[in-house]
Amino acid sequence: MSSLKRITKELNDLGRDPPTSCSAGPVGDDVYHWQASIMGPPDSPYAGGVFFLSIHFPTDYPFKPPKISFTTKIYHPNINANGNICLDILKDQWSPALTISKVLLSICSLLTDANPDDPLVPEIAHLYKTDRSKYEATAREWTKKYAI
Amino acid sequence: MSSTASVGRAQGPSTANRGRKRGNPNANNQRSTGLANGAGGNSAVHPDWNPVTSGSSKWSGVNGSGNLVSGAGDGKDENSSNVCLICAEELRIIAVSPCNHPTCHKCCLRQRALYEKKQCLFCRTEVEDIIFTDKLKENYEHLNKKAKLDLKNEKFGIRFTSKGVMDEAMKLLKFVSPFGDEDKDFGSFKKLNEFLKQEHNKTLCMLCAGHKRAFPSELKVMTVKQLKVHESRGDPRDGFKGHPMCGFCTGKRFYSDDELYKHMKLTHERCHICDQIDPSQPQYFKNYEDLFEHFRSAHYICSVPSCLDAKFVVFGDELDLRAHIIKEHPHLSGENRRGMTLIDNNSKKFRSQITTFSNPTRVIDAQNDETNSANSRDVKRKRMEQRARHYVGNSEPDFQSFLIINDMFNKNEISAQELQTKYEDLFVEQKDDIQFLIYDLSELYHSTSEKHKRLRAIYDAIMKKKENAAKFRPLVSDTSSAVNVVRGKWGQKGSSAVGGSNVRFTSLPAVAEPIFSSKASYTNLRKNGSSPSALVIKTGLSSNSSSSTSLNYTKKSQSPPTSSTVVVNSQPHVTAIRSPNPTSFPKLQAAKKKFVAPPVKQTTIPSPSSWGKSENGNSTSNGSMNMDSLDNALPGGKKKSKQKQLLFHIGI
Repeated sequence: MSSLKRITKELNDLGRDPPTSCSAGPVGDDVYHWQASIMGPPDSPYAGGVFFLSIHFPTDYPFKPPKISFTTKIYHPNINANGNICLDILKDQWSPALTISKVLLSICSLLTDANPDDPLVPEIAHLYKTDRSKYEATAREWTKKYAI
Repeated sequence: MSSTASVGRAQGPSTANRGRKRGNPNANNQRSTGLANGAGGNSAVHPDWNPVTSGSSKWSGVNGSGNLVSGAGDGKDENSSNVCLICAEELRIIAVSPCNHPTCHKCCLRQRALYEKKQCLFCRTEVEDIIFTDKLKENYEHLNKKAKLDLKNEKFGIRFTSKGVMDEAMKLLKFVSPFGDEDKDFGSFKKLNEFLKQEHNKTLCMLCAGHKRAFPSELKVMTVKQLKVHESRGDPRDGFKGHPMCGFCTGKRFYSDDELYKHMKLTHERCHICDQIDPSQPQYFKNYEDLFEHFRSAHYICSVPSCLDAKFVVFGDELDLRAHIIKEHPHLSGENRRGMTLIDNNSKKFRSQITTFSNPTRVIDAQNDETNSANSRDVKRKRMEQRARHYVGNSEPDFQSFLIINDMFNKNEISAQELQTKYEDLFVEQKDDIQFLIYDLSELYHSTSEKHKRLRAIYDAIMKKKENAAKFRPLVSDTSSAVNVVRGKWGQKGSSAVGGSNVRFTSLPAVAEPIFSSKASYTNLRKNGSSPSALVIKTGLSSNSSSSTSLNYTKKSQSPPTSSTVVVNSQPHVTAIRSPNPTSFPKLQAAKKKFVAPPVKQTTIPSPSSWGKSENGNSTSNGSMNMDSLDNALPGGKKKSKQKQLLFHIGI
């Protein structure tokens, strides 16, 4: 199978042209296990934070989506306590043409614009909808506590 | 020309990305479209192909200015146009779709035959008809018009431009012996596997055969021993860690964790209470009996028969159970003593057991914390480095100099302050955020160490500064007009030249003195025995030069001529006192202490009373000064100021 070639290519592309607000690379020698980091978008309550994620490539990559989860705690309607991310392109909307770099950018935009209508943590989504300033304050507090 | 440029960009992912920066999810589509256009056999597009390559080299010339790296990148990019964007393998046969998103024949066939989907791999459009060709620069429209495409596979909706292409592609789906001893197509993995076992004493992994969606030739043929290794440990080179096994169904393996998870969900039970306590460590049980035992030993079950029959009536703590019993079984919780004892027995029993249960989880938590703290320094270092890299825009030399600065600080070659200035020089773009780096760096030192404290002090100072800035900013912008009036008064120097809004706050302490001097003059005034109304008029008179109409009006409206003359008499007196030197009066100092207090709020009190005068305050400071201090300077000031305000109202 070709997953190794494809992953190597993505790694080279990332090295040649790193995206602005995120980075990613293998942990140790295992090309199938990466660590990524995302800078909290400046126009979000996560600003100033550096969030780490772990990426596992399945052997069937890119026909199956990579498994991505946050390792830094984050207060977000679509990210639960385990760091699991509720994002359509990581599930049924995955396309083999997507790359890690694009997925990370999508996660960045998820941080700026949460999707409370498809929540993973209903409590946070509820707060997000009813008392936005309180949600932002908590998110900022968590960012300060865990990501700075 | 513009089309050349765009295709040229599309050819070089590196430059394309740089231009895009915040890349959109369709980026690949764009690139592929570029590729498709470039690769198009359409006569209109095709001639563009050569200029395209020259365009792309031009691009590198402009962009990299002969830079070696970009040259190499360009070479690669040219290569990458011959590489499938999905699997990164070299293209030999391409699959061309109406949406012109070409892939290699393998990826396309995998999608259509093995995954049984007809969606385009790029844009997810349903593609009923796709053309396989070995001419890598063809596009769909051209092929569709030009070629007679008789060779067709109805099942997968594929047409082929030649027999060779068709054979090459369809060969992938044949179950043939990899040893070349039998030309026969066995038709299924099962039959192929039987043949391999019989003839060669080798085997395929049937789990992979069923789930991997691999072409028959892609599966490894293994000995029984190799198969065992494959199942239990997998092959790390492929990122494959073996087929996971179900802990309850002995020997039953699953293709991947996803399939195992499905199996666990379907056939076994998971404790939802444990999930709530620690979702990262799901607790599975073989069946409901085992789960019930766990409920009894670890959680609080409701032992009322109807609830036992209903199953899953279990609670994480005693309080929830009690609430449930009171709500659902009120006859047990009320006067019925037997019911009470039942609950009490239960809860006691479970309480003793919950301790044995909750202890281990606490231990796990503690371990997590430990590992966290062990990792945390590592994580913190990583975080700092990522942040720094990001701030310097991923420039490696800048990042290296960042590390050098840190090293110098570590070796005590530079102080924390010098570190800060060096950071400021290095992170020109992100000057506002360097406190995060300083914070990150401070975290790398032990919290009792001198370095940590010094860095933290700088961080705190910066944060405080920012906080203050944030606090004061709205004041300046929102109340600017009000503040201006006040400043007009403070601008004691008698010049309206104090225009800069920044000066406002800094000028505060200096302001105090003139106010008092005026106050001093005020006492003098008062000794002259003028009524408050007269005072107002006096200022009004003094402002005659600046001709504030409202003030003139005030004067007219009440105009008690006698008092006004008194004041007028007194006025030259005042100016005489003030002009030589405000500090010449010893009284002032004592008064100053009273007044120093919170300047902003204090001054807003006099400001309304002296609205009219603020203008002349600029031209002739005396009048306004006198008015300012009216309330405070005069013993009976309050009453008088009231009257005075009244006068103003009438006047206006």
